[in-house]
Amino acid sequence: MKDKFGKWESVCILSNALLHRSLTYSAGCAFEHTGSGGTLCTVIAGVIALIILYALMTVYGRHGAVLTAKTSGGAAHSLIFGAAALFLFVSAVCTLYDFSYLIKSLAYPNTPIWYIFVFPAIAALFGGFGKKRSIASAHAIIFPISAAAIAVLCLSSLPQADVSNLFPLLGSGGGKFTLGILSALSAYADAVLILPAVEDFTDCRSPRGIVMTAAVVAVIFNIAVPLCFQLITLNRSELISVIPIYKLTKSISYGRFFQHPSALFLAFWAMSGILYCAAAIHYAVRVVRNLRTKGVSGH
Amino acid sequence: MIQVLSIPENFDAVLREFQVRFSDGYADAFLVYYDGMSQQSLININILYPMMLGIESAGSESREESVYRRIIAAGQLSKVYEWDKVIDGIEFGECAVFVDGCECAFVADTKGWDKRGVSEPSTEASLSGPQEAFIETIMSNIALIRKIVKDPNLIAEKISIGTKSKTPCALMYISDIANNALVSDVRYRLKSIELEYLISVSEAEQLIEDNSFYPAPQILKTERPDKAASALADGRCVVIVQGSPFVMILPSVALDFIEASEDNYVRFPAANFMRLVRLFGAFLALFLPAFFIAVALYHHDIIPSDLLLSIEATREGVPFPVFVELILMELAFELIKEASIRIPSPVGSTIGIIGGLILGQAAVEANIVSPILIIIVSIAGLGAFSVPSIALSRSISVMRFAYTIAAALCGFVGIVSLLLINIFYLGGRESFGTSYLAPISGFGGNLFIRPMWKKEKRPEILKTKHERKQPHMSKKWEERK
Repeated sequence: MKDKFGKWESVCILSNALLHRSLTYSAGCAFEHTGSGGTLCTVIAGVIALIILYALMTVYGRHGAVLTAKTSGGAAHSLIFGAAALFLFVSAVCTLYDFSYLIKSLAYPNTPIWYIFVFPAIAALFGGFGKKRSIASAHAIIFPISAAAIAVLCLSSLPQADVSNLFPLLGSGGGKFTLGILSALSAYADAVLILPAVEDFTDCRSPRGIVMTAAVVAVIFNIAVPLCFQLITLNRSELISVIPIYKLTKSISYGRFFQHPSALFLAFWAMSGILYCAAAIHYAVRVVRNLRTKGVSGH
Repeated sequence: MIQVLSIPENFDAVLREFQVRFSDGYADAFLVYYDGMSQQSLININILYPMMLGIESAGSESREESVYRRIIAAGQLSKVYEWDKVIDGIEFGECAVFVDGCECAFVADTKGWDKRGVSEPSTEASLSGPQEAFIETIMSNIALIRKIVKDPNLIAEKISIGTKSKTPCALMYISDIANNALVSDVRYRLKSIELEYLISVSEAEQLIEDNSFYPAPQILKTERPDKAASALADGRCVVIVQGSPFVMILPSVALDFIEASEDNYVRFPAANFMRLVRLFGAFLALFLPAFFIAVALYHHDIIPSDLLLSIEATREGVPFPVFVELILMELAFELIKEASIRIPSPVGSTIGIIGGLILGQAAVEANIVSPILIIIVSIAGLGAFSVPSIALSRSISVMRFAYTIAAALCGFVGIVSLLLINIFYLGGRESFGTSYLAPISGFGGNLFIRPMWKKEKRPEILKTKHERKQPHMSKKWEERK
């Protein structure tokens, strides 16, 4: 039990994984495809994600022992875990690159991209190759702070909100709306992390409660950010080709001293992204290590 | 004995030869002690007087039994058969008596070295709490704790450290509360220390802590008996080292270093407020200079243009880049801090005038530094002083430079990256089997102080034998309402 994560740590790890992507591209892509239908896309995507996760966790609850890495056997399961590890590794690298690229374009125009890449990459690798307890502790401390910052950001934008900005609800409609839903749904792709991480949960045999709590937290934020963004964005053209949360930070002002919290948001964004990358690298490395030591069928 | 104690080269070693009167005649004897370490009056009255002037022994008793039972009148007297133990006793202020015809030495507790009286705590002052602090004597320190705890299960194990100094240390714990694994771990670490001389508790701390290289302290040291007693009642261990007015509390987690003695003596909302203030102070001390550098070099847009212009205006004429300017000011501040510790107290106030007024004002007027920077460095310095633990305060001062450099290299991204590296590192560390970041990271326990009647359980992280400190309803009088 010593090395198991508590509910708090587990929820923070999964919530961060399901949330970090929407801070960058997912919601932005939904607006890109459907314009004013972006928020509805994120709502529908959130509901679909919750249903899928609930179904998966129900199946897991019945066949948990089969899916749990250490007790499973056979090449099929090893392939699933290998694919998950590959996905996590690629996802971590992409997240770091996307992060560096966006940060450069937003705040460090004169700095080479590799230079911005180095700092978060070192932090992510340090965490990824560290102890799993480090990952849990860091998530448990940082994720609530990041979440609180995003919540404050959303609440701060409400005085400028105009409900009429939400219409037309379906935006461009039709096929583009479906594409928007799929884009928004991609925010939950990192649910793959559940697969290797679940054995670290205190109650790894029935983790549905933990996963669903984390998913609900993530869905709330994944909907709240684009919703607030759209509520304060009057001009339709401004909905496209932007990162909603960054735009949100640009639109609000905390009095005379903190004119725009956009730079502070970069800090929270960086924290969330690095945490995810560290967790993804950690679990990808662990799966690969297990596969190497136990063989493909023994994983 | 003359050779071992290097008599007469050791002029403070006293070897007194005399004769003891027994019923069957006189026997040669001598006693040995260190002048200044033992009480001479005690030796004269309780040892020499009865032995020389004679108390008739019972006819059937051996000489050994007569000396032990009827002649030497000492509260703590032991028959010692091993030479090394006799020497250890003498080195620790005891008086050894050797009598012809006896196979053992009689070692009487006659400790009487000069010691400081119990005084007020100097580094952990409290307005409402007790005004007693530990002193340099191990037995006095044990007594200071024992008079608070008053529990027969309070154990004080003696462990000597140092092959030559044989410094007496005490491992204290409450046997029916403290986790056996924890006690065994602490005992094992203390006993396995191999060095010739152990001088202070800080040396012992470095020898038993889990990681010596990281700046953050891992073992809490306190000079307050009430704090040590409270830790014992929670199920922790306390280690006392002879010669140190501080004791170690094990295990210690990060939040323990933010806890002030005053927290337990004020109403809990005020205690929580003060804790938040301290956390905020620590946050400012660690990040404010780095934040300033990040804003000045990379993130100008966070503050309004007119404010940015006014800040820039104050820097007009300053020849150094803002980063160099800040580092210079930080170094000057550390210089003043160090000097104020070393400076004799009668002229202590002078350093404040020199450092604060003359240097600060002159530096601004000479355009060497900008006024805003002096404000930044001063607030950060104040923040560091709000941290109750001196060790943590020093650690924050070191880490502040690291964060400032990270901010200069890559703004907020640099700060965040270093912060996460720190958290990843600390998150994986343990202090005697306890996660260092607990309970911040949610591995049990609470970040905030609870009211007294809600402190029902001991910290979960300590895995104590008895989890509950008080019943669910400790305020029994409320049941009658």
